[in-house]
Formats: sequence, C-alpha cells, structure tokens
Amino acid sequence: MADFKTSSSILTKECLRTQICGEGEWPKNTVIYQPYETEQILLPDNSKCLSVKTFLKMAGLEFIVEARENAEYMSPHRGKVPFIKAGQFLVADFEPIVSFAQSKGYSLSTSLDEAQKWDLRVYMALVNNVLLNAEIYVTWNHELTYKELTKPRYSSVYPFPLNHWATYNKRREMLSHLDVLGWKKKSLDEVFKEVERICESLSNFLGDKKYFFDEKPTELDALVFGHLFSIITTPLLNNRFAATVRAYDNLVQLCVRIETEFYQSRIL
Amino acid sequence: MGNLYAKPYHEFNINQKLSLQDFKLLGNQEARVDQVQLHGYSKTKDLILESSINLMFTSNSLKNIINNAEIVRKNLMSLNCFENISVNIDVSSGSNSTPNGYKVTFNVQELTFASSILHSVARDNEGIVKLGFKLNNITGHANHFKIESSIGNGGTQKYDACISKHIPGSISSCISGHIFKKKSYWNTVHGVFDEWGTLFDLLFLSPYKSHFSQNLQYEGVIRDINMLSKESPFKLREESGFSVKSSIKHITTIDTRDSKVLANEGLFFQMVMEVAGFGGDVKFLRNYFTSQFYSKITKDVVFQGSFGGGVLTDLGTFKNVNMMDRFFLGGPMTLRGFQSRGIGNLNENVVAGVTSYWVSAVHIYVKPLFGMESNRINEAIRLHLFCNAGNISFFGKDTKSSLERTFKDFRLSTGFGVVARIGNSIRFEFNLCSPLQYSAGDRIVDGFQFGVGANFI
Repeated sequence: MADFKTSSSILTKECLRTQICGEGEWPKNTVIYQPYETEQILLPDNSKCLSVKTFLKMAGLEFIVEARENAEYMSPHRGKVPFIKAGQFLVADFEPIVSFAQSKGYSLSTSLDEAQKWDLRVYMALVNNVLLNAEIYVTWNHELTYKELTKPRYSSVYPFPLNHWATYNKRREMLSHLDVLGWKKKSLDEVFKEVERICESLSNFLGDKKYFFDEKPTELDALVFGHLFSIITTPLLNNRFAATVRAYDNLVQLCVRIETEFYQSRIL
Repeated sequence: MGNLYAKPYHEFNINQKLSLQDFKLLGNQEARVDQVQLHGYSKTKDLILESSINLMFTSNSLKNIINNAEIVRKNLMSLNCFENISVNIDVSSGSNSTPNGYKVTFNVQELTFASSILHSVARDNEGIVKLGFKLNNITGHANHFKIESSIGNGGTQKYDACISKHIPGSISSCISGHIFKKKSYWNTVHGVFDEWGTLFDLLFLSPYKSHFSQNLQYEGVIRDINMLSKESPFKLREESGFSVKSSIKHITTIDTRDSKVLANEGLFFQMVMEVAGFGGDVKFLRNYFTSQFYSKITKDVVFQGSFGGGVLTDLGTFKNVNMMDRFFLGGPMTLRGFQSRGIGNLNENVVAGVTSYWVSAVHIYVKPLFGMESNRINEAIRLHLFCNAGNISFFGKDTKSSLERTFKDFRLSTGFGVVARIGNSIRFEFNLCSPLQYSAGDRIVDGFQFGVGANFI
C-alpha cells in the first residue's frame, strides 16, 4: 500500500511536471542520448533507440543524436536508453517520450477514433511485452549469444576489472527482469514461438494497408519498425530470429517503406 | 633508593624520599641498563618485541633511561597487541650488576584474541559510528584482522575488512590491506556514490620521533556515480556511471601538535601526492596539502594559522576525471560560512568540482574560563574568532593568468563560535558565520553553522 502511494505520488508529480512544461513549442536543441551504435549498443537498446528516433522523425520533431558510453547510467531512469534532454527536461524510454511529445501538442494518433486508440495501445503493449522481452532473452539469457556477442560488446567500453563487473551486474539485473515476467525458464523454441505469434497478429492487423492505421504512420508503426528493423539487421549467431520475422512479407515491406521514407540514406 | 615509575602520562610518581632536586641531579648522572625484563606476555613472539626493546640498552643516563622507556612503551603499544603496559625502573642488584646499573621491567597485559569494536569517528562533516570485531595478534607476530561497518548520520555506509601486520625496527612499519565497500551521498545534487575497492598501505614511522610518518598506498577502486533526481545538474549527470581508479598515493605527515583537535602549540603539515592511471580509466596527478600552525599568545589565548591548497592535473585522453576526483571547497570545517561543497556554480556549463584550490584560516582561541588553571572545561571547550579565505579555479593553459584569477576574487568569511573536543579526534564547531565576499552560484550560510569532523582548517 505504501509503495502504491509513493509511486502514485511520483506519478502525479511527473504529470504535474509535464503539465507545467506542457504548453509551448518543442524545445530547440533537443538531444537524444544513446550508447555507441557500432561497438557498444545491444539489440534491445538498439530497438528502443530506433523506435524513439523514428517516432520523432515521424512527428517532424528536431533532434540531435549524441552517443555516450555511459548513456544508460546518465539516464534519469537508470538502465533505460535512450533518453532525451529537451530544455530542462529529461525523459527516458519510448512511451514517456511519446507522452512528453503529446503534452507539447505533437501526437501521431490524434486522428484515430476511440476504438483505434485502444487497438494502438494494445498492440504497443504487446510489442513491448513480447518483442522486447524476446530480444532481452536472446541477448542476455541465451548462453552462447551472451558469450560471443553480448559480453564483448557490453564490456568494450570498460577497462579491467570493470568489464567483468559491469557486465555481470547488468546480466543479473536483466535475468531477474526476465524471471519476474516468467520468461527466464522458457526455452529458445518457446520464445521464438511467442515472436511468431505476435508477428502473425501484427501481420494480420497490417494486412495490405500502408501503415497500421491506413495512410498515416502512428506511434505503433515507429515502435514496430524500431524492433523489427533491429532484429532483421542485427547480426546474431544464427539468423533464426531474423528469419522468423522475415517470414511475414508485409511486415518487412512496412520496414522498407518506413526506412525509405524517413531514413533515405540507409538501405535495408 | 626508592622506585621510579614512568607512567604513561609523562608524570613521574616519585617516591617521597626523593626530592625533585635530587631527581634532577640523579637524572644527569651516568647510568646504564643492565637488564630489561618483560612480564605478562605469552602469545607474542620474542622476535617482535626484541627490536623495540633494544633501544633501552643505548641509554647513558637516568633521564635517558626514562625517556627511552617511554618511547619503548609507545612502540610496544603501537603493535596493538597489548592492553596496557607499565614500566618499572629500579637499580639492578645481584652478581651481574654494575655500579650504575639499572633494571627496567615492562609489565604488559596482552589483548584478548577476539574483541569487539564500537567507537565513533567524524569525517567530512559527518558523525560516524563504527561497529565490528577484530582478531588480535593472530599468530603472535603482531598481525591483526578486523571487520568493521560504519554508519554515519548523513547516510554514509562503509564496510571494511582489514588485515595488518606491524614490523618493528629502527624504522617501524605497518603493512595493511583493506577490502571495502562504501556508499556516500551528496544531498544537494541528489547524488549517490558507490565504491568497491582495495587499499594496500605501507606506513613508515620513525619510532624515536613519532611526529613524522609516511604512507605509501595503492588504491584500486571501482566507483559508481548515480544521480537520483532529474533536478541534478546535467553537467554532473554526464559523469554518472562506472569508472575505475588505480592509483599510488604518498602521504607525508609531520605533526608536533600537543593535541590533535585543540592544540596549544605545534605544527601540522600533511602533503598528499597521488598518481592515478596504472590500469583503470582515469589518469591524473593530484597534489594537495594542509598545514596548521599554533602558537600561544598568552596563557589563555592561542593563535592558529592554516593554509592549504591542491592542484589536479588531468592526464587522461579518453576519459576525464570525474567529480569523485576533483576538489570541492566549502563546509563548516574548512571554508566556514559556505555549505558543504558550496563553492562554485553548479549550473549548466560550469563544472562543479575544480582542479585547483587554496584555503586559509586565522583563528584566535580563548579558553572559556579565563585566567583559571587548566581544568577539564578549558581543555575541552574553546571560544574562537575566525577569518577564512579561499578560492577555486581551473588551471588553464596560461598558468600566470589563472594564478592571478585564483587570488583575485577570493571568497572571504568571518565569524565567531564555540569549538568543542570529544575524545582526541572529534571536533565540534558551532559558529555564527558571515560570508563577506562570494560569487553568484555559491551556496552560502549567513548565520549559524554546525560542523563536526576530524579534518579542519
């Protein structure tokens, strides 16, 4: 009960903060902080960073990307990347950033009706619950991937003995996160089964439409693009994860569409 | 001839039959030590004790014997093996005795194998309670082991396991190794600092002149800076995360003060040199020093002048030094009239924590019971009038201009208050301060300020 009270009071405080800062323009010189892309960043963080950047691009909001090796520790919500610094405000993670932009009057889902808004929320929660956890599972819980990819990348910015220490701590944190959600005991096959299922429902929902909600991209498109694009393009030990996603042609087409529209310089 | 007892407090309890004049006369007479006896130890090995006691045989007068006996007593106490030691000096008798011969007997009482630790210390404006246990003299070679946890009223937590060994000799030394975990807070910016580390310390102490000592230390520590609040200055937030410091430190201390907290006369000088960058990711060269000078003006008035300063040179190319390495100035025991770490602007674009600083103080102490003989109140409490000056700066490429800047717009404060001493290391201060000169962004205290600590200016 006490916990609930404190967390709710924090929430109200946070709401107040966003309310107060809410009115007005999108702050100039908004910076998005993330880990180094080529040598440090891991699959789950990469997906989230890509989602946030895509969302900001879709909303036409200006931002500068800055890579910091200690981005996850600089974040106001320790361990969550990316975070943005907009004027005096620090906001971490995809959903808070979306609601922050909304409070400033920038939203991609204003034209949707009530039922569609519910759909949007449900699918976003689904992507966060399944795709993100699957990425975390593969990155931290799959022994071989952890040894071959995660550990060298994560510890690349630290000197001895911090490389072991920091990686060990992070892994412990991530595994307890998976454990709480009941993902830790799943086998790799079960995880991919879950991924398959969500891809199928996303694929069905998308159908032949240009974006999930017809002609205009929404937050869901940004989120799905961030995750799927990262999964497809990130080299892992085998391409099973990517292959699971690639099996759904319309989802891949969506990624290509968003890629060419918002990131013309890059090729899928 | 009666017995002479050299007591720990430099007071000599002389048997009635001997007047002071007689004693002085006797003191200068030629004498030699025939025999030294040690009673009461069972576990401690002879090897450890011998080198300390050898000094006794170099004595050539009674006065010398008494002085040496006190030094030996102190050295034996510094082994941390004995609870107390009493000294007994007598003329030697028996077949092997010489005409001017004396017999010195040390009656020692060994510490029990295991004992508990419960005491309080003060550091950085925080009172700290230490709890733990120690194993004394494990193998009889003056080697000890202890585990301590300390909790401070400001939230500081420290856990420390320490193994140490004394090596007596003409240069007595003490080797110790620590493993520690520490958590401390900086409340103004909602910062939490975590440290996990090891420390190896080699202490050299000249046994005959115990006011001079040197420490050579190696410290390897993983630090974690965590900024808890969104209101924390972003410049400080940028430094959060892990870093490793691996450094060698050399500390020189000269201390001739008659008391560590409320001295009447004497000099204190401590210089710390630290080089970091043997492994780890921070590289710097850091020097800082503190000096204090005490002089008695009259019987009840003591003058203290202090000066301190430090320079930090960043040698890193990839990662810069962070706020745990840089200096901070301000606080009720250093630059009074400013909050702890209160000097310097914390706002954007100005990095708090600096690469060089200087601080100085002038105190006039008055004993509260003016004109009375020394008594407990006069020894424990003093009124003082102080004036502090100091400044911070970042050394740029142009040394001359940055030096000029350092001494130009310095911070100045003055005030008066009460200083109290608890034990021989904790100092309390309650002052009415008035900052006279300060810059925008400084966090000042104009009024009453309370401070507790062991280090002060």
